[in-house]
Amino acid sequence: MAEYTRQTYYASAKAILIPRFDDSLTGTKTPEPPKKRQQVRRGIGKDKSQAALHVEKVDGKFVLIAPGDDPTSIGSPQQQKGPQDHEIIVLPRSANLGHNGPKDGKRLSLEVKFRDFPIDPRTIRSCAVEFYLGTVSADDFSRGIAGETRRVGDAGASGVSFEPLHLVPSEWTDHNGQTRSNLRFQGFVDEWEATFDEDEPIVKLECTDNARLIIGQFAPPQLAIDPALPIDEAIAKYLANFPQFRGLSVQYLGKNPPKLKGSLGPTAYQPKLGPPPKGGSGASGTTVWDYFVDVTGALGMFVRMEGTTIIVQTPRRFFSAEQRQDDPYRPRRLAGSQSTLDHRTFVYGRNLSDVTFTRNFTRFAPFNVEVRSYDPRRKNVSVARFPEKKDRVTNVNPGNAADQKWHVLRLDFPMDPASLKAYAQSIYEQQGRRELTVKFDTDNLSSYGRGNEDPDILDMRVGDTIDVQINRSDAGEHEEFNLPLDGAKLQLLQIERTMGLMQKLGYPEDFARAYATAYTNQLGFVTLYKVRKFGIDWNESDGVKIDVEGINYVLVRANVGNSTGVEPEPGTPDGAADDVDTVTVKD
Amino acid sequence: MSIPTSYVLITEITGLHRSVRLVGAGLPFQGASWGVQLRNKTTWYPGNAQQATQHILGPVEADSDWEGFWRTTQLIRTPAQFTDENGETTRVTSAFSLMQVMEDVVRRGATLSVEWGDDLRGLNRRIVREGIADEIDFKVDRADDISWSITWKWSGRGVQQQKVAAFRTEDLVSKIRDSILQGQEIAQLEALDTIISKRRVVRNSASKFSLGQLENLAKAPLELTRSFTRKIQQIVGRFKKLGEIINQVRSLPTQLANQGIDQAANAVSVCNNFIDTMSRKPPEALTARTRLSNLTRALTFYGGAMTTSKLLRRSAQGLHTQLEGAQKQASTILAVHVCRARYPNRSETLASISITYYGVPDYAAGIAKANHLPLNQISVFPGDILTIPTLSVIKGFNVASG
Repeated sequence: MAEYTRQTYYASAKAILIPRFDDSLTGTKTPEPPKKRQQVRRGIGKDKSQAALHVEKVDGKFVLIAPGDDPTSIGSPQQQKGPQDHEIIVLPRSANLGHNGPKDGKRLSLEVKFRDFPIDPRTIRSCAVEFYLGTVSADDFSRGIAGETRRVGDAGASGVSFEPLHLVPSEWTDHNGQTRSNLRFQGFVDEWEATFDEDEPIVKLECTDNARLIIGQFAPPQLAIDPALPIDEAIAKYLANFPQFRGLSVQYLGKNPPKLKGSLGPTAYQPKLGPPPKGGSGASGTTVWDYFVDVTGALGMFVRMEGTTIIVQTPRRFFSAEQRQDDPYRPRRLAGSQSTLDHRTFVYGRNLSDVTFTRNFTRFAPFNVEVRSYDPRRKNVSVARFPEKKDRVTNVNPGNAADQKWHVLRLDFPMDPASLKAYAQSIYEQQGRRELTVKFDTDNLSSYGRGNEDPDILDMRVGDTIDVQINRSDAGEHEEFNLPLDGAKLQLLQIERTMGLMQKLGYPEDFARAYATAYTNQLGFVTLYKVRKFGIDWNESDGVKIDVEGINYVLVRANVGNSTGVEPEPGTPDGAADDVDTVTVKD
Repeated sequence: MSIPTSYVLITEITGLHRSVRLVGAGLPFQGASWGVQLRNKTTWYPGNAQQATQHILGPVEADSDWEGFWRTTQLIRTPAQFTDENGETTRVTSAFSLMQVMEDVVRRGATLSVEWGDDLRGLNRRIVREGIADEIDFKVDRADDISWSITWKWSGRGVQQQKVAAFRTEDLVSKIRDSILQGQEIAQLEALDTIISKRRVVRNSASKFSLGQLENLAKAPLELTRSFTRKIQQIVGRFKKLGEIINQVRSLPTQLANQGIDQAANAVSVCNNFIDTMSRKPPEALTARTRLSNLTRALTFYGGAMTTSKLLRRSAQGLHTQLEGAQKQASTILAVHVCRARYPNRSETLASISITYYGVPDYAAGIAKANHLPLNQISVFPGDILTIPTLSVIKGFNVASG
């Protein structure tokens, strides 16, 4: 029987604000309107010597740095403080942090008591935010309440300061010796609101993460990604034209980053110039982010932002069960159990308050994908389909009449056949194949098996794999949950037990066996989900509450994959180009 | 008649700063209640009857409800004391008057400090809370017999709240840096009398005064300046050492804070003396010549010295205040130990350091914990800097629990 871990949490939160004040209030400087309309500006313009950024590769990432910066320690835009910047530490009354999915930025809502807010928000012109949430040890908590402090910072320009010991530290070392950060959010205040009423005055801050920087920048019409460079480097060099992106980095998750030149047809871009932004210019509202979505999509990939890193990867890699490298979660073995929890595990009957499973058979049913690309030079249309013939989704209607549903996309730029295939696969794997959705709430900060010393749920990210189990042991026995973790022996036991139960209820043996096999099938019965989105609520009176939404994006379909089992490499001649149908169009 | 030992002192810490002291029959029934509530949230998950999840969010002062009965006949023997805004104290022996006083104190909404004390045998036991009277209720049987109840809502314990960022040694370091810079500027005064040539090519040549001009300044109190700069040089040297140590150990042991306070006080005193002496005459009167250029140079020279010494005095005063704050913070640090090699190929051990400071080797693990070292670590490397906590701190460590 596995040992119970004490679930007493000493959670604490703090926010660091770095405000800039309104120049117009000081009377020393009058803001001037920009000389050109914003949407037709070209980044830093022709005079690149002033603010041009450099790109340097560090640990597989292309980091955007200014001359003289150290790429290993440049830090996020929030950490690049000038002499006029000062940190203001506030303790939020409540906070809500939303991880909204791979394609949306994180959002943070903060509520701070006005009396704890040392500056009047009306003086703020812009404000960077860092939000820390984590736990402190019971020892630190009690000593902090007694007035002991810890030293923070370094003796340097930022100085050394002290903070109460029961306040969440910025970094800590876990039982595995890993240095872990309690930083949960970095971004900027989008909107603030100060409310003065009969209750206590409150300042509310609505913040978005660093993706706002990119989403807020229009794509200049004459600026394009270099098609001859690997996609990650090309994106980094493109971003280097904008001084506000200093400190961001670009990373490709995979072995060989593809180049646009090998994937797009030659007519898709001008010589020595990459594909222009869709719609022609920033005047049409195309942002840098939209542009990246387009060009990475042409390679069968998608782009997302994690902290300060722009990540380019294939959907398959994102939706696979592979654990990300920077995940501090380590597979854990419960005391008294032989099984290992490879993923964060949540068990109804142990650490979940509400669990809801939903399945929509029609709305999110998968479609087969067909992508068509017309090449005006060769005057033909390339067509790629995914999945392969034997794996195609077929709906069986009443009377056993089979039907296939297709989702047809027509591209407005030519692509080579191999890339087209990868594109079709990418679309297929990104479409709403949410056969099974799970939603649950928990007050625990650690997944099953640990407690206050390892708040691993707070380190969870969208796309991580989680294991959601239901403890069906009899209420009186309190048997430790171990289904289906203890292997084939237990599975056989479960089949017999489930069959017996079904037969007792009067169901025929065939039906009972089919159900028992499906229920206990470790490969087919879905307990692994991908985190689609989750929210963390902090409240000074109620502590932390976490709600998670997971979908079975992953394993079942990902196992089907390509017939060869090999992911097509875009832009390479040995991709899955053989399967591409070509239709010649007569004009 | 027994002498009452317990008392309740209610003081307005904002507003009119009046106070009411209740003793004997004026005290609440069954004593005064005080409570602490630990904010928490407990969740029992469905299906899990063995283990609840708890979030511990810190203590708050629980509200207190007091009840009592004031009778004039008893108050005569143990009267309450009321101190008004002018500091005049009057004895209140009437229950009705006491009711009016208390009602007025509550209605004015000032933040109150409520202290329960027991002076028995000089033990000076006290409980202090700060807050407001949320509600006060009087039931008047007669004007001389009044029962009362009061609900307190507390906002603190009467001690200074721990700030989110307690203090920044950045300020301390910058204060020291300012003092050093200003001290160095003053110390350059002494170098001026070594000027031998006006020509710039000559080393140490004059940048401000020619020889002739120096002669004009001969009557100036150069001896005073020289003595002043010498003292400042010494102080600057000590500030430098202090700054280096703070930078190295990123903390401030008690004895260093004390030394720093002494030095800062010394600097203030030296500056005061210099400023006093120099202020007796206007700076332009410190030269015998009447030429305007000489007067102006003398004015600039001594005026500058005065300004700089005033700045030094101000920064030394700031440093003094800062160091006093740091000294309170540093009360948990006994010393800073720089590890050294004891013999060739052998270094100090934590046990030997424990013997050095505490006389016994038992606190080696405590020293390790205070310095975030593994608890089983035995030796240290020469040159390592360890913070040695006070014995009371080290005894408070639960080393076994890690």
